[in-house]
Amino acid sequence: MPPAVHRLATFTWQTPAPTSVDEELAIFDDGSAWFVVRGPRTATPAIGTYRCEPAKADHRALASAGPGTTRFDPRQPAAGGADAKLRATADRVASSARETPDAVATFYVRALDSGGSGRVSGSGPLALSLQVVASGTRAVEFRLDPEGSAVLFGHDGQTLTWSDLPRLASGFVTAEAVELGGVRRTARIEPGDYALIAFDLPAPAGASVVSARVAGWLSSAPPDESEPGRFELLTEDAPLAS
Amino acid sequence: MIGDPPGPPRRRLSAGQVLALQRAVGNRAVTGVVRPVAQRVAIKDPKMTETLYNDERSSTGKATAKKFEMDPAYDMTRTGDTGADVTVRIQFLNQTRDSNGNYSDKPKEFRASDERRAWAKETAEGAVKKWNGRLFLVGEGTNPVTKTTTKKRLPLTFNSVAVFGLNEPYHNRVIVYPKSVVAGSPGQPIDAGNWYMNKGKSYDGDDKLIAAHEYGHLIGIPDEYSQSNEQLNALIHQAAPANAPSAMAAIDRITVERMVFSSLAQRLVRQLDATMPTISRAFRAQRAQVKQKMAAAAGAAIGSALIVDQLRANLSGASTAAMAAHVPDVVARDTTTKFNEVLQAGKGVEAGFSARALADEIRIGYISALRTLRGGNVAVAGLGNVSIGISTAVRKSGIGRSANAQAAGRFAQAEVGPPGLPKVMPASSLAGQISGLPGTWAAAGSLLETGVTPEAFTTAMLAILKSASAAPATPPPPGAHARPKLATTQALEDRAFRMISNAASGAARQVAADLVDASIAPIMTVSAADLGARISAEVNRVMTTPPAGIPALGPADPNMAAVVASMKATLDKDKAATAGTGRDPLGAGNKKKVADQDVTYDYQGLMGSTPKNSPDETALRVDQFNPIVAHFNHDLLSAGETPFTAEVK
Repeated sequence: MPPAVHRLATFTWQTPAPTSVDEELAIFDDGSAWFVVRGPRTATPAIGTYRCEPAKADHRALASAGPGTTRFDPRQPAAGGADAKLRATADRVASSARETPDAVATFYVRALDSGGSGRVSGSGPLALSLQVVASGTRAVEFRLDPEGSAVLFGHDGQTLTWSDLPRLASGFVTAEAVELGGVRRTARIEPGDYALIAFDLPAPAGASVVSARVAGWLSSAPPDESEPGRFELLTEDAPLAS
Repeated sequence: MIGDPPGPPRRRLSAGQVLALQRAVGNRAVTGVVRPVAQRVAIKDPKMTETLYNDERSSTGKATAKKFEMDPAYDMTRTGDTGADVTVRIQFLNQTRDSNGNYSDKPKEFRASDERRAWAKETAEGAVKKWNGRLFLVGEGTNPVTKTTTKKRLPLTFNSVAVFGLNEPYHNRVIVYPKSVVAGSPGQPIDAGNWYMNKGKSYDGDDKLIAAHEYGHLIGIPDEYSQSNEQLNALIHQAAPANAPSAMAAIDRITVERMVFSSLAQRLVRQLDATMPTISRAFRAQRAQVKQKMAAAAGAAIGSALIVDQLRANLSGASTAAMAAHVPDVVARDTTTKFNEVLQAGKGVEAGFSARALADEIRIGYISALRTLRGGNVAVAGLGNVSIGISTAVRKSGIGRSANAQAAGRFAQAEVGPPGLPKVMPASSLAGQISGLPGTWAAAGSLLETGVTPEAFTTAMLAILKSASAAPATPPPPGAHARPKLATTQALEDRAFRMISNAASGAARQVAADLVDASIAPIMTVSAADLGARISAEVNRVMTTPPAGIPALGPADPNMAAVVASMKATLDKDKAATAGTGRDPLGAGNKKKVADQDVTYDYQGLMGSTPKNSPDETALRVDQFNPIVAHFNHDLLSAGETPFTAEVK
């Protein structure tokens, strides 16, 4: 079924690897703005969709830049003049949309026997979990790409080593053992739900923190998009047990 | 800016002067001249500009050029034949930027207690670590007296000195922003003159790597990312020996291959979506036999010791100490009498074989397989690794009504299959191959027989139960809440039954999804590889085969040929529009109008762009140091020496 609303303009913020920022602001003819985060530039390890209704003047200014896509590189300043004004408006509307999640997944990594913050001695397996918390007004839909993801071990601000995810036999699971998907099939997680995948990895010697590069496909999208988009983010550091 | 520094007087004598001095005053005086002494020169290059194609314009969907400035200045010191060093004095100050990136006040000194002082000092000192131990100046000198020639290899050391006084001499000024200002937020990009304690997520995680990159600009080395084809060509000529064959023809071929793939990809996925009714119907027709096999697998798995033990662990962990004693009985009862595995297996298979779930799986499977054709870095002889970025204009060129889009549409239909529920789906098409898969499941040794087994079901159910037990074992992340412990028999029994039912249903869904995944993945992989080979063959036909050899290659696929010709024409147009504009098309010397570009290139190295922790992360090349070596040869050569060259380790 064709979408009931039509896109007037698109703005993207993108950087190449390793930062892989990938954010998109879409302006629609019903006065709404959808903000899609597939590679966040903020410290929050979240992907998904956000929605807001910008001030009319902002909406008009952004719509007039359409119908194509305007891409910004957040590593460089705006060129000045009209370009700078347009970018500032797009940034302002994106910031505003970020306050009102529509279908958002926030990821964390935790050591299951966490509690200390010393360094791992390097013997035996380490029990870890990849956790997701959904927020917004609709279920967030995504699928992990375990081969594109990795677990990073660090100490003193530096990455010491990294490991591929092991083969995961199931997707994200709630405390009630409800399997919500995410591995070799699409996860659908309702706002407020919290689920995780537990897995073991060999403990690397000398590491004191763990984080994950989480990659996959985000199916949640603005109303006129049906194809899943690639996402990638880096979780915060979590302490490892001594 | 710093003026001529006070330092030892420069001693530059010609070979003849040294000989004359030796004759006049003896060897001792000559030894005094040639012994290691420090010679220092202040280098101040004219302001430099660079051009980066790092934004995309809405009206064209192509990368657009922007100009940036650099102001290289440093001291270079030579200490006889033992080494040389480059020192940049960086003045760190406090200033504010607005959301457009403009300064909104005057620069001020940091207060003595400001944490930015220590951070700036440490960052400045850390910036040069990636540069040091890697560059040598290599040359030779002839002793004017003995006429013997000695090879010389001077390690070049880079220094970075932080100064904080407004009136202290400095080479370059850097504004440092406090933790409250996030780099990458509106108007706050990091560049050579603006460093951030809080670099946010727009930048690499390693402060020292960013600082090392920015240090490169302070000594006059420009960025090497977001380059046009013409800029890459100029970079290759700068890096490669003058007589080396050009690598551009090979890069152009690979570029056109990737443009063709990008132009086709979206069309191919849309065509697969259009064939989904046929594919779903074929899979759903086999639900009954999958359910039967799944129920048998579930029945064998649920009573197994592995599952029973894990269930006990889960429920004990979720119960109060008093309730934990009842767990073994409850588990024993629920895993034998209460549970209906046929029902749960059926639910799981239904969920896994819904039209939507199948469409999701197949679509993402195809997108993942196609993604491999986007390709990785290209190794360019004499330069290093380069990544290729394709513009939105090219990515969307397969959609719409243009001649290229129509050719892409016809190609996609032949490749993937006709839409809807056609009477006959061509067996060789992608949709035809996928639709034929479930029909093979009844055969002995099929994926159904080898994939839906008690072992597979046990593995999935065990993984679900382990993850469920982990949830209460770790503090919940922000936004999630811990659940209270089970404190009554009724609550324990309810939880036990729900847990078994949920885990069994989830395991059935996962095993069903794995069956579909294992079935389609090989077909997707082969299909994508075959597509890549055909794109490559057609690009080679057009770009390398001499006319006389074309008949031997056989007839071309007319639609593929049309897309390749269109993409080659697009690249040729971009190249023609920028021909001769070199590394800095917006620089003062270039008068040509700078056209937007469909393709950009990133050198993978310290001054380019590179994935974190890759071997390319700190890559440097000899040619990047040409200006520094030229200054050394102009100002710091000793008598009898020939010009030095750089050697990078």
